[in-house]
Amino acid sequence: MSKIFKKIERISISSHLILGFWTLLIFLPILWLVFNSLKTSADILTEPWSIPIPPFIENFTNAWNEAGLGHGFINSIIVTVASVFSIVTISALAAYVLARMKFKLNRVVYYFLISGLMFPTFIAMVPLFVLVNQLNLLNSLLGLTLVYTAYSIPFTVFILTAFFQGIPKTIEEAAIMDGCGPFRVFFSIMLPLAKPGLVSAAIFNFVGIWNEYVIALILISDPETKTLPVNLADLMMVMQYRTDFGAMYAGIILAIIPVVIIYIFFQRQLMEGTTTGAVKE
Amino acid sequence: MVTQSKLLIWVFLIPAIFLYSLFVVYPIFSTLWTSFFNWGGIGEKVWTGWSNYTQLLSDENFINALINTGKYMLFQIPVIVILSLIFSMIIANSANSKKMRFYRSSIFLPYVIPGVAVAMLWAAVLNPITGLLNVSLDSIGLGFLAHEWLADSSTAFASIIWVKTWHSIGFYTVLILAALLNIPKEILEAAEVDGANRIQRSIYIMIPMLKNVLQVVVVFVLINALKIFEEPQLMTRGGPNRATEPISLYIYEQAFGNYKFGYASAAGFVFFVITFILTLLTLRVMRGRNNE
Repeated sequence: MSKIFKKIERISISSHLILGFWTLLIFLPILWLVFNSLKTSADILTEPWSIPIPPFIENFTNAWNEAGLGHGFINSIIVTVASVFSIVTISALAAYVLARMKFKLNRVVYYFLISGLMFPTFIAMVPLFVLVNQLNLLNSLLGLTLVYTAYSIPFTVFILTAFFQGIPKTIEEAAIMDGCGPFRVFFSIMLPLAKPGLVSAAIFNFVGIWNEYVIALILISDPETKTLPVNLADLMMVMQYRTDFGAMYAGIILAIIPVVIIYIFFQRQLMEGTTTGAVKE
Repeated sequence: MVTQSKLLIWVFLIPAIFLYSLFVVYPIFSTLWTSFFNWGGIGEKVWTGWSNYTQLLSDENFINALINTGKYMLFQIPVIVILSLIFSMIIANSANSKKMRFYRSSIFLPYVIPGVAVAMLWAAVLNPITGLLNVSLDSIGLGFLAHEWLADSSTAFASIIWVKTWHSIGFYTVLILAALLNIPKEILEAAEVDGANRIQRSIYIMIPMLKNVLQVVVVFVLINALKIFEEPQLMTRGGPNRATEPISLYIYEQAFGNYKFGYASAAGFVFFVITFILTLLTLRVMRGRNNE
């Protein structure tokens, strides 16, 4: 018996070694980046192992002002918040109807809307650019918001429809009996009940849009309206010829901080959001 | 249910249908139309029929990009399946749930970080002079192993596979973990009573029950490999000698580097057909799951 216990103990020690090692591979580069973002460029070159005390905060002010990442950060916030708001509103309206109302084209509309789940952006790169140009929405945060909203509809409708289907019908029926009109049923009864689903959808889309790069790269070329990922990528091109590494590292940290904060608070929603599409389909 | 007016249904649906049709569906179809023209973005479109497609087939760089995308798929499947399987099994089997929650959160963390930041972080780590990797090798006396990782075609390719794995392994681990936790406890307990140890339980009971989720993992790896862009664009610029250039970057360069809009659209449409086939495959796998 004790032999078996020893064996199990050994397995769990090696399990810890494997996961511990991977965790190290995750945190070591990030920690190294954080340290480097707080050193002068000279120290990055000559003292790779030093701990940055006192921290060289100027990297962050340089990144924010001189490298123009402040603009990008604010643009990203505007586009992300506006997109999340419109995605959740528009998708909730559609998902409610698709989950609850019987009409002939219900399934057709549902599959039409979620069929976009699988197609990468690159397929339609050129026509998307041409279309947005014809609408006079290139280099515009509004244009980017509309495109992000459109691209996020398939997944959001998919998860919200499932969520509305899970809410018991009796509550809604009672409200209708009491004389509530359809808009009131939706806004004062269904939306509050669907709040957990709406929060998940909002968090999931927030991270996705904050991180989005390719569409923004195609649709925005004006430095004033670039989002943070595009700004960062530009900075990297410039850095190949200049050597203010510190500011670049600080820029990467700036892009990571908001999503990491969201991850700390909404970890469960993010994990569920990313995997429901795969598991429940 | 109480009667609802038909009109109201469409009032609720129209915003979603309109935006989605305009910005997602229309461009996909428009890609096919544009692919029959010679067009630089401004000025006349010149109808050229199938000429863009015949040119593509003899374009070495296009074929090279297709092969690279295929290679990303082939190399990523075993790496991701094996690692995510090991991680999720260890987490699911563990008795100490607090520690395991910490590991799960850590492994998933990179998945929420922007792709641009991940690519830049690893470009910095792999930098031959200032990068963490070479600096570490130097200081533990293994300086002779230091290398210009992104300048040599084989290590550049391996680096991108590694960065992709580092970025996304948490997603796959959580996916498999969800399936593992769905396995009825009774089955595992019965096996334990019958004398099966942890490893035996993993191999003979858990892995067969994971067949379906593993198929889903493979399909997702394939679809995500089609989207590889930030890492080669920012870390290697598709080089050296186009060794790391995937189809996405090739299309982007044709369209917005060379302004060959018609030609890039033809490449995009070929890409669409490939994606469509993979999507059908996905649906078949999913349907297989539902039937069981």
